[in-house]
Amino acid sequence: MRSLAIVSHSPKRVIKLAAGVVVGTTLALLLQTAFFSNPVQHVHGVEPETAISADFWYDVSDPSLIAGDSFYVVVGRVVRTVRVDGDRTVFEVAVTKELKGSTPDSVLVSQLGKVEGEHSWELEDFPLMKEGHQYVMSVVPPSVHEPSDALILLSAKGMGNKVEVTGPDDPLVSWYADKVRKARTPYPAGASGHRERAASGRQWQETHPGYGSPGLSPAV
Amino acid sequence: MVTAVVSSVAAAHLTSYPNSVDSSTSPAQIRYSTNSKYTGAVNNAVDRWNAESKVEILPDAWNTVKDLEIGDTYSSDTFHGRFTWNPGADNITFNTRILDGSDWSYEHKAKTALHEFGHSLDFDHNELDWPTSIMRQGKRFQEYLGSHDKSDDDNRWN
Repeated sequence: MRSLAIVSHSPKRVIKLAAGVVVGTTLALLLQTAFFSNPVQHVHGVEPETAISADFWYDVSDPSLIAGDSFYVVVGRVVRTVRVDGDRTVFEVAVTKELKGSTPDSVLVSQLGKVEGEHSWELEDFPLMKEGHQYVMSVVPPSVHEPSDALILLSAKGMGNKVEVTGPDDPLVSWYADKVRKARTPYPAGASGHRERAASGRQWQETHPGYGSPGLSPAV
Repeated sequence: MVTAVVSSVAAAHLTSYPNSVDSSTSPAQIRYSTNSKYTGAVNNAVDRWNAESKVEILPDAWNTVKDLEIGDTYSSDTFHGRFTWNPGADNITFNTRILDGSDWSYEHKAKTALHEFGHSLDFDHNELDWPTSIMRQGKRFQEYLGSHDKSDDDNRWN
């Protein structure tokens, strides 16, 4: 009520008050900066070296478990880097052989990690794929929670996934095909994660022509 | 600098990367903010590491510089937690697809948070037997630090 009375009866006083508030606020901010702000900066030992360290919930060095958690296992040649999508890099991949499921001849595959400006982020022991190189890739469709047109390359270690090969006739491909035949799910029986994963795959196949897959290995 | 530390503390499992610790304060600090829904697991990790380490892990404040941001994401990828070194504040990210699973208890989430905070304190993965170290990878029912974690912390920070 008091401020209304001021507005209606004393506009000069309102201007003075407003000016006082502005000056006071500015002084307070200056004082804060000069005397109270912590001058400490975030200190890194080596910049701009950056990396990603992941904690995996199952043995991602076992290709049979990765294959069991995948919808598609293909041999593919990385044609080009398409874009950076959040914390992932999207590659165009020409599929040269299918080991699990069926895909179009050309697919998009996203891998955790990226290069942005002078900084790069890579998962430990899982460097970004290189254009022109061929790999065995175990992938899953993205879920409704992460809308994308790119399949997700499952992060792994060692021989678990993204194994580089010379082509579809590389002996490693035969070795991997055997692992796919012996695929087993990492999920315990009845786990909600298994059901969610399976539902995402079914939805992808229904909405993306050219994709077909036996799905996940069954929970046991 | 990090390389020199690794060579002088042979017993500790340290990363070859920078960490989140601000060593220019006394005592050294990690200032963090969180919007993760796994509040209990995060608080447990902060309390357990604070009880052990001379590095203070404290919430970020208006007059401090943030070293670490904690949050959640839904990812179809294989990780349940991850730590990302950045030029600015580092990140701890929990994968809700995994941690919200019907087969994941509070203790599993607590292990994940303890493990990721371990990275922020400079500790690397190891292959030691449970429950010796929280820094071994994998799904684990463990809400406390292992004996090796404590000795690593003594060597690195105390």
